[in-house]
Amino acid sequence: MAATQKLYPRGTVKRIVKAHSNRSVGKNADILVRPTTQRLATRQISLLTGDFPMVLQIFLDYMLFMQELMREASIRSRKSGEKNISANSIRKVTEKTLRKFQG
Amino acid sequence: MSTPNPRNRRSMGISGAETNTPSGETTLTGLQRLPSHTRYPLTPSRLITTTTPSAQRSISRFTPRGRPSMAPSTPYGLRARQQKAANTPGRDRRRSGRVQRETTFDILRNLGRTLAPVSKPIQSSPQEEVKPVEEPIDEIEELDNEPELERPRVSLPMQGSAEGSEEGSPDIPPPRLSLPFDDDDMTYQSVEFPRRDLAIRDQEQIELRRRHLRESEDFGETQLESDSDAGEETGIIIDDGFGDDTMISGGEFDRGGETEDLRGFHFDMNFPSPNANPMDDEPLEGEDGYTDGFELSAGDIQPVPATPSDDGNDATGGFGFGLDFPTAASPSQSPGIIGGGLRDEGFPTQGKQKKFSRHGIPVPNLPAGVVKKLATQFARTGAGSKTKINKATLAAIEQASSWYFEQVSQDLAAYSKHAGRKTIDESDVTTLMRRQRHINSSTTVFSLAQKHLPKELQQDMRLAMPP
Repeated sequence: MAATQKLYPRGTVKRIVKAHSNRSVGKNADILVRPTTQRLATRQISLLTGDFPMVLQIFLDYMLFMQELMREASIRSRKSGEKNISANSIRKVTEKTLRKFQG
Repeated sequence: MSTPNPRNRRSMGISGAETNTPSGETTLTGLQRLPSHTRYPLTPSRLITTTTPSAQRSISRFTPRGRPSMAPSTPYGLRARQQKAANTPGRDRRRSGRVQRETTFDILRNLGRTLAPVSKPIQSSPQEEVKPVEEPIDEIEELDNEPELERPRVSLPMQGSAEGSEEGSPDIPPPRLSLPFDDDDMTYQSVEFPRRDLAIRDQEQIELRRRHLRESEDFGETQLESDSDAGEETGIIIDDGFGDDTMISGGEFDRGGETEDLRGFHFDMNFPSPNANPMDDEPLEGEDGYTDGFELSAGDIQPVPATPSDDGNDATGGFGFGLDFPTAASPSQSPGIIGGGLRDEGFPTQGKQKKFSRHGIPVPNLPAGVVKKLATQFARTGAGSKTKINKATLAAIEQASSWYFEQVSQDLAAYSKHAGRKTIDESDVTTLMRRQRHINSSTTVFSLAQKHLPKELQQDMRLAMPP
């Protein structure tokens, strides 16, 4: 787990979610109970120790968001003829992408 | 009379359906066709080997779309069509009521078709048509019979136009055109000089009137200041002074009188003004009538500085993200945020480091290195090999990611609250990703992780899995 600390900001993500939701971000304490009702892949992840899978899942979602954001921004900047992705194109794309990621 | 379109449709429908009947009724007249069609709606024997009534029904019917485009003219085409219809029997299922509906329509259509060779188009009586043609001819003849007009002048009056305008008569004697140039110069001068004089005179009069007006106003103000001539008819004095200088007609005097009336009106307006104006800030007396409105506007201005914060809060609440708390951003980001219309900064005094969620909990920022790394990685995959992300872009991305985390965590809180839990659980995240259409029956979290997460994290996942 020490290696994963460098790969993605686990504690920061957890704190951000905790601050915004005003709820405690739980650990996977009930691994042994729940996996019977869930699918295989989810069980495989949920068998992981600690809060690693859940926060990693949130981080994975964030990565998907970033991918979508940069993809849209690059499309927009290419349409407007810019070489690099400008801040303006990111701002224009942000709302659309956030709406896409609304749960 | 039937329009050509239904006739075409009918003929094609018949050729599609009726040629298959064993009796060969296509040669019969149109009136007999339709009853036969209704009488034998399920005639079993066709050219094709299909025997079941359902398949046969499908043979006899074609979709209205296909009908006008391809009419089976050759027997091969017909057979191919029947085979196609037999292969896809459910294709024409919806036209079950079509046969019954066609009967009444076709009865009328066939009636019209049989009556068509007998009936003739309505012809209007020829006299009415002829008369209006003849009348204009008579008028033209009458016009021709009229005495001839004077011969028009073929030559254009080149230099006589100026004289013509002066004289007012269109006809100029031709010897005038052949005059030498000296006379032309004379006429030019004779035409232009009086006009010039008139124009100059007009300008002078206008200037004098302007002066008159201005000076009369100034004069009135000076009189107001002196307050001595208020009782007098001062307009007469002014008119006398100008009448000596300018030699203008009596209209000018009337104008002066009007200005004098206006000036008297001003004078009346000025008296209550010092009493009505408590501010005493404005030296202009003429605008005292507007001071009341101005004071009201000034009173309105006072609450205005308080409103922008309210507007900002409303703007944050009005957007679809449902994030009411102000997100403190760096000052370089704030104009872009406002321009993007997402939300405004409620409290600009907050620093960059300390952000608070709407629950009052300080929110840490994601480390900029992680954001930049992800951004460069995905920008590279999206745009091309070399994409640089400058500072402003990175700031915008960080802002977007902070908004993303707000949105996501509030959604997660909503899910956990709905489940009656006090902690955000893994199922909430799964629900979120499923609602985001990232997880469905084909893609799981695991496959997503394998696809997107770096190898180190995947290794960790594998290592962390129990044997």
